[in-house]
Amino acid sequence: MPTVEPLIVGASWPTPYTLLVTISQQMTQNAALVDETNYALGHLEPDEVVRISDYVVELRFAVAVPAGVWYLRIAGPESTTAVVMDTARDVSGPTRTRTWLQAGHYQPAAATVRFTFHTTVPVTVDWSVAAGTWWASLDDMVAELNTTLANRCRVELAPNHTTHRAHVRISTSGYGPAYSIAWSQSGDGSALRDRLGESGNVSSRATGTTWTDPVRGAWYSWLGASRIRRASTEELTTLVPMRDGALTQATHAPTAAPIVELDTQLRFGPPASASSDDRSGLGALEALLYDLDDVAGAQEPLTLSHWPETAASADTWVVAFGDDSLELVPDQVDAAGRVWSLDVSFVAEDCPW
Amino acid sequence: MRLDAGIRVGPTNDTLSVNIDAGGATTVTLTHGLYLSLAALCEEATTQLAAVDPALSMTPSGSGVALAASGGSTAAWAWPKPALRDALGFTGVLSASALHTSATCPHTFLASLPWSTRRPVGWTLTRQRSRHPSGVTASRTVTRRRRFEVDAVVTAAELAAFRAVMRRLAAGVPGTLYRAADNATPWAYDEWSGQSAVQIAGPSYADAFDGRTLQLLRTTLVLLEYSA
Repeated sequence: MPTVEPLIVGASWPTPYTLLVTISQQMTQNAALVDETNYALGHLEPDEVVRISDYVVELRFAVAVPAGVWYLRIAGPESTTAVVMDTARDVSGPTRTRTWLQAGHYQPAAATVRFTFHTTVPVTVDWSVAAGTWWASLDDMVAELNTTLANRCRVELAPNHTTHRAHVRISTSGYGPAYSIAWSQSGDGSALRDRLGESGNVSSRATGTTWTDPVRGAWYSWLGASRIRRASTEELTTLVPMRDGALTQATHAPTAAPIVELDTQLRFGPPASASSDDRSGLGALEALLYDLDDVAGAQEPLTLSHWPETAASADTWVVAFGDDSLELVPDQVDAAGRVWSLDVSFVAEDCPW
Repeated sequence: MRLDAGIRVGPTNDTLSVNIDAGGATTVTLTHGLYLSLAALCEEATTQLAAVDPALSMTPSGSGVALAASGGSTAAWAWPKPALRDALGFTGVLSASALHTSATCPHTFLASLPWSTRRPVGWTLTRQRSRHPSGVTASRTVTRRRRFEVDAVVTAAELAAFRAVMRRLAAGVPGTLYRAADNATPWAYDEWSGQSAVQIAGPSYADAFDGRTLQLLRTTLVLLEYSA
């Protein structure tokens, strides 16, 4: 029996888009749970369904969902009580991460990290990182890791919009139901391990498992920045007076990207699915600031990513704090505590425009 | 909301004496140190008293007073060093009784009006930064502290008590901020009404009356989290 659950879509969702669905009954992990034909958002069928846990699936849409009120229908997946599921409750979302900050990573020591995929005959892949390797963000690190792992699995940083933090999730693609990770197969991979939110080697972890602890040195907001305003601090040209009184112009051709001031106002707060007095966003922001020094490898510059409503992808800036002496004090914007605002002055070394 | 100024126990205010059931006075000495709240001072006093008699205790109440108790016995209390008596809120020698209640501790302020803030928590950081010719900036944090802010509202009748506490904080003595007077749980992001060890931020403190009626004092307190 189909189920209806209304979802109000404001501005059109850009592609690709994922919708997290929490189901009230524990679901049987079988083919029906991840069969995209069992799900429909209005007339749209997701392109892929991924099991996240016994109660959560993720629907991935490759086409844009226009603004309006849409009804989510689910029919086919079974609960563990062998009853065909006929009610979908607690559809969480849509929430999309609009602005996120990630500290860069400087790898202090050479390391070889070994991934083992538990196929019938285990398959191993080594990820070698040289000492001194620099990534401007965790996204860059994970992108390189995915390239190394090729098509054996997909490593994702899955944001939690309530906690404002992200967790690693690895989904093997036909390479066995589980995987293991040895962080220091050779050398010292502890900085990579700590940064990605682990405390030790990983042993036979099921595909699709969201890691318990969040990644370090990162902060995510579903509300997004309300202001990212750049100003140039580099002289681009100088007027040069000539002897005859005429003025000429000497244009400076910077050999490196100009450094610009970035006046930023971040917005964050608990989503509608969380309690209004959930202040995890503040704690996550503090964790980012403290991780810059507490976690090996995490340091300035950071990468500020912002995904505008109608864009297909996020813009990124490589930034550092604008002052040596900082006083960062978030403002509570609304009485309920759902919206917080923080003004931050950055200097950007790399801008998207 | 409640604000306690710290109390430093030293050679001039470290002893009291207790006489249980007229059996003779015993001197009790508190460990020297800085106690950030009435509760911390009472806890130390209880620790030392318990070594004399487990039934003896000095406990704080949420209303800012201290309770000197002797269980099933009667105890008389004396103060060889009156500064300790004053710090606890007692005013003189205590005759034999099972329980004595002090006046409000002079280092404690309990607000009668609600305090609020739009900016409850933030951070102050100083960073040492270096810029590499390639443009990559390396930096390290030199100092970092949580910053708390509260908008205090004080009635004219409370003014003396409030300024007594602020005078000590402005002199550099740290204290304890209780966001709920009866909640001694340490503050955290999921324990929003907990208590924090704090000291005043900045080199000075100022307050001003609200309007022409001179009935309400308003001031924004900016406090930094304190750790020894």
